[in-house]
Amino acid sequence: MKLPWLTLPAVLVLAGCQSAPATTPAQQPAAGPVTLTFANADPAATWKPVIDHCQKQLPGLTVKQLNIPYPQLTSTITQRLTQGNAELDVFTVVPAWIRDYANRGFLADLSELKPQAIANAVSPDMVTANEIDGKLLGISPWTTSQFLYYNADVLRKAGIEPPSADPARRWTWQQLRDASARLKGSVQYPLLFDQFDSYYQLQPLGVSAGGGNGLTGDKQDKPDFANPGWQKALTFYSGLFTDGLSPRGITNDKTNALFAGGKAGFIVSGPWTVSNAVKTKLAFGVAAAPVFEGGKPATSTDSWAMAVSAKSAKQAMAKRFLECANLTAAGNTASIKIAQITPTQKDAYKAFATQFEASGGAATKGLSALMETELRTTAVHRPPVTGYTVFESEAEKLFADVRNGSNPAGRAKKADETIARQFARLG
Amino acid sequence: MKVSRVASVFAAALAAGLIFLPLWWVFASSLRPGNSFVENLTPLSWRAFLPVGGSFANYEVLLDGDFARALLNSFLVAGVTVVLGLAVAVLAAYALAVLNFPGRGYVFVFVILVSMVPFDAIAIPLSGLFSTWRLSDSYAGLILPALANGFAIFVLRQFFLGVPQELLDAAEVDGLGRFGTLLRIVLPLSKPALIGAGLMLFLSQWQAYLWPLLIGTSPGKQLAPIALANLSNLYSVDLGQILAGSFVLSAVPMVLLLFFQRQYTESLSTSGMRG
Repeated sequence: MKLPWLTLPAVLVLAGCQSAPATTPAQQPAAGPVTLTFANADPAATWKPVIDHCQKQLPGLTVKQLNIPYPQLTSTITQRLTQGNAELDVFTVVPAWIRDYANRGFLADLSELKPQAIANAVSPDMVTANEIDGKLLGISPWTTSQFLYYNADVLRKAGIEPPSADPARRWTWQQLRDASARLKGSVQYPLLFDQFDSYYQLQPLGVSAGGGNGLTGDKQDKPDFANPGWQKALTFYSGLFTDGLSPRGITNDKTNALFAGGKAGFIVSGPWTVSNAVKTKLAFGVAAAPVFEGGKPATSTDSWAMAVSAKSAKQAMAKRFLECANLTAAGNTASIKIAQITPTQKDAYKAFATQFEASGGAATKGLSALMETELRTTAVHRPPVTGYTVFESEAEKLFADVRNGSNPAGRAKKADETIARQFARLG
Repeated sequence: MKVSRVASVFAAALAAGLIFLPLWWVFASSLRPGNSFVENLTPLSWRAFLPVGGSFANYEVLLDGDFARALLNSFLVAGVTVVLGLAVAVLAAYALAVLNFPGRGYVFVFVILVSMVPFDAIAIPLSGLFSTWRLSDSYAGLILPALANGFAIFVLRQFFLGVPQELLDAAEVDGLGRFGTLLRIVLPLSKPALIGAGLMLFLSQWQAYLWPLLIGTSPGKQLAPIALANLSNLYSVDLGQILAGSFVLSAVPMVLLLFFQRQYTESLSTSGMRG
């Protein structure tokens, strides 16, 4: 009978710990202070400059961050929005996830911002990649591209002429393989991919070999890794490991560090490799990403997009925040201050590209023009299909198995069957 | 006998060394700047285990950012959980051990059965309830679910059962009420069990990941394991800082166990046998 009395201090302490009640959507004033909750998968410092900037530009706006670790971002956002959580207003999303999110009714329509977004983008497809059925559902503040980096000292010692930064003179994958074979014995890892086994990294191989996205059909709803193009790409990929040109046991969090530490001859990677190599004072160079002979050049692209929750009661302010962060030069520049990722707003991009090219000295000469060419002409977006996460997950299991010695033809057939079954379940 | 004793000591030292080796590698690697520890990692070299040429730069950067605040949050949340959780567990365990009330056995079985349900299985629906109650992203939201710890109640109850009935009867004769008996007689005798249960409560919060992820990930309320995971994002990963953070998170419970190992072991090994 004394229990209630004894638990009183606990209740009081906990009441003291509790944050102030949030304003419910219904109580949200039409004008005046608005607090937006913005979920992303970065450290808080990454988004702080753009939040500070937009809070100054939009009086009354306060943005509160939720920093969710990347592997759990989708599941956490899905869990919160499925439970009807109206406290989440803005979140980051990979463009390829957008159809799945749209199917669940998570995303607000941003089409009113489309003309402005197109007018401000480096390339229109950076905007349209976030469209589903004619509706703009996300806006990308950042983008990525892929290049072929090489260790200049290692190539010089091996007597190999470095690949060119001129996209018209890009190496073929076979040339890269031959050059890597000549580095065997003189460097620990002749050839690395920044993200082994990831669809983001390997999609361009399939596309360049004529295999497309690994999906077929009018609605891109049938898996197709067994097609001749993908078989060519997978056989090439498999050969790199069989021949000892690329390692099987290295995880993706270490590849860039290994290249920057001088332990690799080549790495196919994104713009972030420049700062890593500069930090370690590596003698390096950058060239255009390879292409399959007779195929079309293809490079990975995209980064996060920002989306507004359809369940948010503060959509008007949320859209103004997106406009500030993505479609103005100052806002978009502030968004990359910490992350140093390629911005998508054309004026912000110009400033970044100039600084990016200068950052590596002679090693990065011509990189600005190369990046713009790749973004405008060779970038391939991941397909925003229903069940993309399932598709990507199975594709990456396929790549990992091929890397570990599975037969590309048999394993691709099995992957196609598995993905088809999963797609059928999703309708 | 002497040879066998030396062999035993040697085997024990070897086993301890092998168990400690990965953590030592984490520490040694965390003293190398940035990602440079990979130089001795592939192939693995004995140099990887030497903390040479290193600095505490990773720790300085780490403790100057979000991780430091998250670490303080973890200490706060775990500390409050220990204090309040022990209060709940002591009262529940004392009632289940000493008070005679109808259905006491069933209540005890219920407590044990409920404690067997993995928290992760109920975390998602529970987070929905907490959101409805406006406890998302609050210290209360982080602390409340950990307060009623069935295993802590079990350990304390078993320990209390071992307190001689004569002592309790004498206390009653001397005019101490039930609460006075608990406070002045039972608890002073139960330090090992209290420390054991307190460590369990501390560890349950210190290593929590799913619940803090569901309930609070704003920089102000973030706990250290989440902040550690956030050090790796889509485009950058500073392994030196991650290793430094991992070492800090591993070292804290190790130090606690080092100080309280006797009581912790005693609390587990003597439950129900004291008397």
